[in-house]
Amino acid sequence: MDHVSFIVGGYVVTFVAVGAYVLRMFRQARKFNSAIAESDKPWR
Amino acid sequence: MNIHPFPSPVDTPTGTRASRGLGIVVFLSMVLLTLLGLVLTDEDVVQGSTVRLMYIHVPAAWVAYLAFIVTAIASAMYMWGKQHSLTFDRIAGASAEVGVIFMGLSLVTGSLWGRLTWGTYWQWDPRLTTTAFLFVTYVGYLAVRDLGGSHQQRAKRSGVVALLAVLEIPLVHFSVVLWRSLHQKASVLQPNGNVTMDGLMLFTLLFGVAVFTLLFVWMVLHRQRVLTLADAIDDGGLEAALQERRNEAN
Repeated sequence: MDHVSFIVGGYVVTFVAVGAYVLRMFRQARKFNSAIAESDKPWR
Repeated sequence: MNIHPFPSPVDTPTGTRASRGLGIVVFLSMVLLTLLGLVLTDEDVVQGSTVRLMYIHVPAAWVAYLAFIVTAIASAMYMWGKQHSLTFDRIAGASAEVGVIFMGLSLVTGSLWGRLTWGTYWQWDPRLTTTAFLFVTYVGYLAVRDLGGSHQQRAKRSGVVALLAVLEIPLVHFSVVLWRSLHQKASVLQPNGNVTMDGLMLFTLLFGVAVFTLLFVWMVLHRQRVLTLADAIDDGGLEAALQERRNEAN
């Protein structure tokens, strides 16, 4: 495959960006979770 | 408070049995998409191996459009719904956030593809310029959401912005038809219905669109739940401040 660094780089950037966003989101969720009553979590 | 730097996606306060199942399906599908995109599909006769960027670039752009449309619909449902439910506002906010991520990824992967095919990372071309403008508009939308005030004020203010901003999407999509552009025109959604793409390449592209759409649903589901927790903390903080004032007065 030609231009491997560009092509694989595109995939890596995509997965790293999504992964970083998801990790940040879950960290926030854990931080907020302990301060919130179960009644404020309608999905539970 | 001890928060693990890499929390498990399986055990999160915003997860349910259904969302965990969806997350596993999305993860496995992403692995398959990567295999299809990087290994199993053939190179294009004209573009060679650079066509492999299409399998993430086009789905990322599609999800960004979808996210901004969902933001507008959810905002309209908040504004014209009888209950003025903040759930719609939180869905709008979550969707816009995810949309900005994917619009940014679409710009980055498009820029890499452009460097290989056009010889430059960036051109002030109609499609690229309107896409960058759309990206900046939704960054602005997220900034408007953070301006402060009550949750209802936030919802009304950002709802108006969302309903105006979504009007940019047709301009971005049809920019390659309206003006002379370096960017290629539609390969699949052509007005005459012809699809000029090899079978496995077309399958991989459509599979990528489906996988990214499921990823979008999963991300918005979790994000709007995180926003629900954040709003509940805000409300709790306000209630505590009011109670403190009452105690001081007595």
